Amino acid sequence: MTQRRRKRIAVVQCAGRCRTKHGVLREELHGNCGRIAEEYPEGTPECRWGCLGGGSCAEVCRMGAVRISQYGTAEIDQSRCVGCGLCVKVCPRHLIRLTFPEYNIYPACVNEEPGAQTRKKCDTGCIACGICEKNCPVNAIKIEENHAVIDEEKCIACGMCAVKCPRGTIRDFNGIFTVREEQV
Amino acid sequence: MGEKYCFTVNGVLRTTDVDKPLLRYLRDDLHLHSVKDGCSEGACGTCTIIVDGKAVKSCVLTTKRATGHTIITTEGLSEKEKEAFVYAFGSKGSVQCGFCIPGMVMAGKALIDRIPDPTEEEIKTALKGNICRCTGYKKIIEGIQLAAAILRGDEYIEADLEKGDQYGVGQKAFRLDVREKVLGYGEYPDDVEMDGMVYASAVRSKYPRARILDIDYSKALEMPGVLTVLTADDVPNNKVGHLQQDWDVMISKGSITRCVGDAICLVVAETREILEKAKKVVKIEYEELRPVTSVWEAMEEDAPRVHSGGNLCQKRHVTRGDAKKALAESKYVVTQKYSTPFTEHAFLEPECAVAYPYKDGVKVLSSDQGVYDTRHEISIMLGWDPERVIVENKLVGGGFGGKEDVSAQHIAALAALKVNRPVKVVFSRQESINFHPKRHAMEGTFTLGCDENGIFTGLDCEIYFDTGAYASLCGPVLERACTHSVGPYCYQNTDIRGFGYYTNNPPAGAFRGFGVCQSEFALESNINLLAEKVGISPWEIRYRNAIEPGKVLPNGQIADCSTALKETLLAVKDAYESNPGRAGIACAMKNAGVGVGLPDKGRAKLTVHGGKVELYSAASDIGQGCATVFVQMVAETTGLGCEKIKNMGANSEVAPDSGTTSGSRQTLITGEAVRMASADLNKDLQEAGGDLEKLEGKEYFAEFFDPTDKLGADVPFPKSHVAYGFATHVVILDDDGRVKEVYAAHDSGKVVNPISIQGQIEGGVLMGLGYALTEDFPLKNGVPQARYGTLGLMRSTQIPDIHAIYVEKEELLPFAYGAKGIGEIATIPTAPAVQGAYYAMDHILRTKLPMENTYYSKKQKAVK
Repeated sequence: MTQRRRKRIAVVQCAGRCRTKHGVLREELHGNCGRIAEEYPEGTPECRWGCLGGGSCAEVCRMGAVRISQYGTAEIDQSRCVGCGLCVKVCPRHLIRLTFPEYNIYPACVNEEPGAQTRKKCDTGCIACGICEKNCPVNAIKIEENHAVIDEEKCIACGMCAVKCPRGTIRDFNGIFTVREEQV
Repeated sequence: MGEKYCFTVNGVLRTTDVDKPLLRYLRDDLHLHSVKDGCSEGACGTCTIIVDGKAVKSCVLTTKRATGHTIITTEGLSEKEKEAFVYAFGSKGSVQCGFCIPGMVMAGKALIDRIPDPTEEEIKTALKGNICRCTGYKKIIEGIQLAAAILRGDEYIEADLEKGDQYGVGQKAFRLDVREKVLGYGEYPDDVEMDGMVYASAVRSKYPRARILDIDYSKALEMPGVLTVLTADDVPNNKVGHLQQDWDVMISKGSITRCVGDAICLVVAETREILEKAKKVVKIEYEELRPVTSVWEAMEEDAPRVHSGGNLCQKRHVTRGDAKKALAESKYVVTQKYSTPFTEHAFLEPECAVAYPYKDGVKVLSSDQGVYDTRHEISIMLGWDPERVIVENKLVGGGFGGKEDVSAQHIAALAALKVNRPVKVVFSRQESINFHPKRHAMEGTFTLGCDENGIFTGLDCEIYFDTGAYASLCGPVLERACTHSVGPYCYQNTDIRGFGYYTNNPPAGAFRGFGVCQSEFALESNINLLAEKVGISPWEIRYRNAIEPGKVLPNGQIADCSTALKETLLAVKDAYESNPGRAGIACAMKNAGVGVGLPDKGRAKLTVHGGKVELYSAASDIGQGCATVFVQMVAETTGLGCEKIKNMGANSEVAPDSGTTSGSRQTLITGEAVRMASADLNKDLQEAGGDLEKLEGKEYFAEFFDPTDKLGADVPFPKSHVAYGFATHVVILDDDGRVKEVYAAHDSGKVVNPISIQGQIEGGVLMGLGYALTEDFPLKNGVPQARYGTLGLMRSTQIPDIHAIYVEKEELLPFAYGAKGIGEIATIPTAPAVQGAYYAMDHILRTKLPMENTYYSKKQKAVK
């Protein structure tokens, strides 16, 4: 039997529920994410790790798989994504990551601030509470630099962390354990 | 009213207002029993269902989160899919204990729906979240490939195979239980539902060693729906135990616990939910005491006594010739210490039993390895004649030795008699891990000598077993470790001392290999060191010493005509020699049958009823397939097809006692009894001109017993066991140090079922690889630290290519058509062969299991 190339899929590690800073509305942003990043080094949202919302990823995507959601953050339609990695390259925040379709559970936050800070700034940011770590049946998830990180070598994508996450940070791009953006 | 959650299950719109794990909703509310509860932690995959086309673990998903989704369980497959999976899994031998199977089917279906022609790699990836402890995954992967081909129309179902007109010995017989296990309607004890059934569960000790100062369950009793709370005072005789009755049913007030699995009181309630709540409000006051956590602590003079008789549970001294003199005169001698861990059986089905008042006593529906053993233990607890206790096996979701002792059965019986209603006791996964006996952890020192040609001269060894809180089967397991520490070779000077100590760790007892995994790991590792000193290859030194028919084993037994160790060595020679620097080799022998002078009897009764032959023999099929083997024996002897023979299962009310499923004994010992009874039936059948109808109502009973000599018997060539199986395994590593291939050559005498034996070998090898490389059972002051998902069980994505080879000789034993059993030996030589492969690669002797500094251990460390 012939081997097929393993399909890859992009995920955005930010769900973008931070409260936008006064004065920086999306309409006022110009150009690509690179330029925005230069202009607002601390971020357009309050979080300096989150998605800038400039849409560079959406621009480079040839499959029309990336769009900027109502929350002003990049969102990937996994059914269209072919895992080419163009969006990964263009994102100045390195927020987009390529993974395999079987790892449908992913933490959508990479912020490194302490939990209390994050809680103030964002509704879905990881607050490093460690509930996921405690509930993971295979010890595949750890808090590193104040956010949850999954070791895909160990992960069996059971979804337990997504179900237990009190903040909705950990998501299921299949939309089963957590609700998909478009269903909101 | 609160929120309502609506979703579709197997095409029907369902609504509930209770937010709970979907697994519980599907099992308890919709009675969809194909959805198995193996851990309820998301780790095992037995509860896998399909949600919107994706394979999902239903214990993780909740009814609330399922809202709006479309759910399919095995019950909801189309007829075409059902038939495809039943045939594919049956013909490929994918089914053993069957508890993981409906989950595997659903994971397979989700994949096939997405990719109609999945590759092996794609299937492995799809099964990554589903544990199988029996098959080694290979047969399941093949089953899914075939099911996919059938659904594509590339392959076809041969209906004759399941029908089984050709069902004799050596035929690729389709297992009897395939259909019920694949489709999930076969009943394990947890699938039993009875009118008025209630639930019981024990509150267990928080500490391995603590004095129970007070047990206050008044709050629990006040809760509506709680029927009663039982303590040690309610148990007629508070002791059980497989061989030694040292195991308290419950620890009484004022007494000291021995391990965290100890029960303190037993709560009985109307529902599972009430039961869980009630258990939480039971208050137990402890005085925490320092536990004994190792054999070294246990043997200290001032060590706390785990049992009143002291901490030494069992000892054995096995000796022949003069080992001291032989070793002193040997050209080469090696001495090494070895250390092996506790191992958890991790059978997919946690312990469960349903008991109810029956006739003048009690009936227990159980998942165990011997209904008469369970009956015996329960009757001791109740102080009754054994006949008043009836035990019947439902399907057994794996055992591997871990279901020889009573666990849930006796407390279910006790509760059922108290409340006079059917009672179900089901262990949680963690309760199972904390409670049932493990494979003994061993510390041992082994000295082996040889002459200038590499011919073994003598063995001296000292073995220390940690038997934990209770004896369980410490005596015989320790004894097998000692008697088999010599290996399948011929030399006559041995001095083997074995000690089993009580500690406050979880108990240890029987586990596939029965002590031999530990001692042969040590011996075989020493052999490699000797080979190096002599300057010959590890293969050569084994071949020079290998036992052959007519030669004398180190225990004095003359190897019988069927002995084929050399043939297994030759079968793997090329594989071993063509991979220099990355291959390891090890041999093993394992007794079939209990032996050592014990009355180890096989019994079978055949009754002709309704135009069929009914087979009664209480021999537990724990997934290994003995129920099918026995029917094959009847078919072989009588020429009847499978459809004319019905195995009535293990039920102490109607089937004669045929001993424990232990010691690789059922195929040979019970198999021969079945053959004997069949031969009598066949004689009458021939006289009746082959017309079974004419024998209606007739009964044929047979008992098989081949006497053996007890250990240390003063006879010239003592016969320890009826038979021995032999094996040689070769393990080959790749450049990264990952196990790439395993060649497992086995002498099990006549192969009764070629599909089943491959599955036994592959599964045994994978278990051996886990033992060698990934499985551990860490304890912290006697408290198990592992959960099901962190035991280190190998997953589908980790498996190497396993080549199951069986050598069949012309000369066979005159029992059971020459079959010798395969159950345990498949798992014994793997670990030392892995050790040998790493030693060949980097010349580091790894004396501790799981091995350190390997591809597998590095992988785990890298993740922090």
